[in-house]
Amino acid sequence: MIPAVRVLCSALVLSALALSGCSHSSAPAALNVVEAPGPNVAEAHLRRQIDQAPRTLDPGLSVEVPAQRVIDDLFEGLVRLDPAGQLIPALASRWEISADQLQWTFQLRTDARWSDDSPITAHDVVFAWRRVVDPATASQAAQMLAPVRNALQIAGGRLPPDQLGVQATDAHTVVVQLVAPTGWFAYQLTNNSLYPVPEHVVRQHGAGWVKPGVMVSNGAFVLEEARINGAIHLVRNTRYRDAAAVKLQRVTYYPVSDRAAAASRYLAGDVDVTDGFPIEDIELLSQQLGSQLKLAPYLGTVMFGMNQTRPPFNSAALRMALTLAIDRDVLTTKLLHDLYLPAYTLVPANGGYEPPLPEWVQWTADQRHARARQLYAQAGYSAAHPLQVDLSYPTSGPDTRRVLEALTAMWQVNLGAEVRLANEEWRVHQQNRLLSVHALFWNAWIGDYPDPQTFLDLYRVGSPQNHGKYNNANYERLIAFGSATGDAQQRTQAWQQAESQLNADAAFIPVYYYQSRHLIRPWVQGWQGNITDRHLSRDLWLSTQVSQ
Amino acid sequence: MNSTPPLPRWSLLLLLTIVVLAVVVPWISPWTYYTPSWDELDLEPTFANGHWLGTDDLGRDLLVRLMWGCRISLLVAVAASLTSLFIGVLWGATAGYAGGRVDAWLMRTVDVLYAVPFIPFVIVLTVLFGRNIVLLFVAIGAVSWLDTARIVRGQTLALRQREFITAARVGGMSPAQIVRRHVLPNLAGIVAVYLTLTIPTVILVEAFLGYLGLGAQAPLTSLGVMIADGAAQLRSRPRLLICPALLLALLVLCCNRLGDALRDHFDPASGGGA
Amino acid sequence: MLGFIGKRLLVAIPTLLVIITLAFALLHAAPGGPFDSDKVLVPEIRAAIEARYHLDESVPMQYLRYLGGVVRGDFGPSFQYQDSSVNDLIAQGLPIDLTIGLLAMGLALLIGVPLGVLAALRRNTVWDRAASAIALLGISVPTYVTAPLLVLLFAVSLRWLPAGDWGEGALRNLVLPVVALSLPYVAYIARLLRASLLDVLHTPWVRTARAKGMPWRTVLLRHALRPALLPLVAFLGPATVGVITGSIAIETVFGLPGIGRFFVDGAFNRDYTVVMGVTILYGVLIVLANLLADVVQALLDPRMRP
Repeated sequence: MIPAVRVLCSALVLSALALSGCSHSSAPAALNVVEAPGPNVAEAHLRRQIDQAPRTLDPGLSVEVPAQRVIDDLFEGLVRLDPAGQLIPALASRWEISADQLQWTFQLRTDARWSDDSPITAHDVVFAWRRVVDPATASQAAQMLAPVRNALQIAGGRLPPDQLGVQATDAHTVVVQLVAPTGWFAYQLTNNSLYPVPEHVVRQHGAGWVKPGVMVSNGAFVLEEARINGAIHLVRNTRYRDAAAVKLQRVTYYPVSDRAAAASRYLAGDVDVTDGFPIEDIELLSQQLGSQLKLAPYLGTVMFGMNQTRPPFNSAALRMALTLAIDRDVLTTKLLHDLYLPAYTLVPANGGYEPPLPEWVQWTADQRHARARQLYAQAGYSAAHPLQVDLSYPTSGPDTRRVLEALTAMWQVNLGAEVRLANEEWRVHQQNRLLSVHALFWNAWIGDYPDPQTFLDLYRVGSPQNHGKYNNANYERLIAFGSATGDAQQRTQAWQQAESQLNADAAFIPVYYYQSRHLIRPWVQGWQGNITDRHLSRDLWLSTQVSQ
Repeated sequence: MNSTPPLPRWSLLLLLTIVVLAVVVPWISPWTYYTPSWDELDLEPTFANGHWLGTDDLGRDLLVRLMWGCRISLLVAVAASLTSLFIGVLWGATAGYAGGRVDAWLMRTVDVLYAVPFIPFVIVLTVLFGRNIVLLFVAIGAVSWLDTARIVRGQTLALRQREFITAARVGGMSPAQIVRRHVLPNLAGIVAVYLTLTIPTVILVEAFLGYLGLGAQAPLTSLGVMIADGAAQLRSRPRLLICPALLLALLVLCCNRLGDALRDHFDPASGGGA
Repeated sequence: MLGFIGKRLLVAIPTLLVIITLAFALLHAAPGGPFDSDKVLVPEIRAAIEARYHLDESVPMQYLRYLGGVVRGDFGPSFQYQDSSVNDLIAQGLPIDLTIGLLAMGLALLIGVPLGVLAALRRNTVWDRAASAIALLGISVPTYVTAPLLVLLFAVSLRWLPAGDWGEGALRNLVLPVVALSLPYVAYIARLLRASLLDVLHTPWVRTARAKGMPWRTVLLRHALRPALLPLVAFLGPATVGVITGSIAIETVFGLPGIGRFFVDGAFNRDYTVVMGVTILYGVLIVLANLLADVVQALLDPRMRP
């Protein structure tokens, strides 16, 4: 007696397999992408997806990128970034830097108002900055104010907050004293922790001042409604100083942490802009969506760190061998489909800074591999006695894992080295990295501001991020010189020489530079890719006149 | 009228085939599960190029990876299920049969263990004991026996009042003997079914534990991990999801059919048809 | 019966205390803290933050402080979501999970019970196999696969339903999450019911009833179904609690701001108070649900009074 259903099941299995094989090439056609704009366009309602729910909407407390998107729409600082990523005046109409580069004087606009119609004064700026460094506020963002005089001492409780190097000399003038000449301080002002907050509202409501209905902001939009981990609704701020230039009526942020789910929402027509999409789908999506898929260079580098105080990585030859043995171009073109760019140095090219490329970038793959094997043997390893080491990495998604699988296979094939993958839960990994437990570990760094110093600080001796314990006197000298000098050209030269030192020592193994990726509907106008990936909704608008 | 219960031939055959393939294919296949092949990315399955299920996005043969994953998953499923079976049945039967204070203590412990958060528990385990394969079974077994215990206790409570139990007690059997000789066989039905239901759960929990640093370390993979990865590539590479998911579904169907047959075997009174 | 319930409720308090203590100890034993980040905090700032949240105190001190808060009904501030307290998070997430969870369980019962009965009555026939196979699809394909599949089909391709978001509980937003969540439970319910029904159908009193000529429907309703439901009820207790406290897969795929996300994110980010708060909620619900399950079992079968 043959159980008919079992036979049926097997038949289903085989046919499904066959179908999946045949249908793979026709799968893109089945995607049925939304082509026409929905009713939200006529209503000037922009819907954006962000990767994570904002942990807080308080500009003085928030330290994360997804939250910064929302806060950028709610608040405005002394300066801001235009769509191309250039600094332009915002709350401050102009500023002056003293001759010794230690004092910055900002003149605020006199017509700027909070959303409750009270005027914005210099006292709001001073209050906000003091609040951030005040230990009673316990803000993680206090580090952002490190360039300002006394900031770190106040955060440590050794000085009262009113000793901070910022004063309001009158209602519309802010004077800032810095610890040392800091060329990138203007960019630091675009960080949300340096935005003004309404003193009268914060004093009255305390921690609850950020709730919808209570919050008073000075940006292009105000907070209408917010669910923790859910949708956040913003409406146009009629009191905004530049309200006439804002073309959107409403903005809604949807936190969707799963990239595939974010892409699904986009394809279903539920959101107009996404902050990402799954790496695996890049070919399919670019086929289907064409120019809706936008990539732009981003200020971030992925690399491997090595503990250089003990074997095996105290050997510079071994470090260089591993660096040379990776085929970065194959990785980024074949596996990542040009989503990320191959990295040969610590700092990505940005804003006029060109990193010094090591000479082996020009070599052919065979030349590189030959030299790598030479160095590998020089370090004392061979087929009989291969390198055996664990590569530690924090668990994230399958895409990181695939990259690492590819890289360890390259080391196996090109060198004969046996690098085993060892993943750890994220916090466990952080702790171990902090304690310099790992020999070889995955390390990614995203710059805080578009200046090489944010990357180069990583390898200073005193830096808490210097997990590999890199220690080079020449490097220290160059960094010290570069941070102290006011001459821009000399500083750039110092940075380039420092990077060359890192390359020569193979202090780390560069893998790739990040790029930001977005899906943008054709009816969303005003979007420009920029290296800090900041896209304020005030610069965007919706139009059915689709530009090509 | 009592006929011998039908032997689930097809399920047994299918299960055996899968196990044999899982053991044999990695031996005889010319490809490994870990070497990427940059010229053979995302190939469709054909007989010509020898990749019978095609390749994945790193150019690795899918059939070999699937069979390695099957090995790991089967190993984990059997070991963890047996662990949870052993603990759960003993615990629940003791609680149900003994009743009173013993029952209260045992079942309140179960309540406590239900509520203790799993993720910190596993993290602490990995910190204390390192990355150990036995730890994987402990971690999975530690959660899956709870449901078994509750269900077994429920059944035991019902059985306790049955006549043949009373007869055995009057006849002078010790409680341990009664439990072993009379209670356990009558539990076998429900337990066999529940066990087969836990197998897919165990396989998927193993994939989750990979997240926490336990389990098969990349590039080695398991069915659960392949399914999780495949779900992320649902749109662009459906084959990478369909193959492991179908395999898991087949395994589950076979195990459940076998569980039904086991159940019938242990309870011949009901094995004869309605 | 009342005495039984009363005694169990009394025992619930030390049970909860043990749960809280164990969970607290485990959480603090795990390495890392809520304010670790890749951008390492300057020591002064870290010290200030830890002082503010009392993380610089010894673990027993923090435990006592936490217990004191719990007794007052204050589950503490969230370390991740700095604008909100744990009470806020649970108050926001619980209704969402309750709605979806209970609807999903109801749907699972609606589909699973008939499938299980059919499989038992038509044992070893095509109907049995088909019903069992359908039921089993629910657990052999995990939720984080069925949910995106449903989204792909109904939201992206057919455009009948939204791809996610709570949407203030609108019916359209509920359909896909409820269906996806119910599928695994259909399997458990159908299979458990089949097995236990088969056990009952061959007991002497059912046989007698059939021999007396009683129609199947009456036999089922009056004699068979009640005892057959026992293992199911034992399973449903903790299962319902699990479903109410949120399914992380459903919440992630559909972007629902429920407790499941808070809990899992909290465990990974060491948000001690959120994890403790959800654990306590879960503990209370488990104790109550198991008590309810035991009471229902005793009502269904008087011989099961423990």
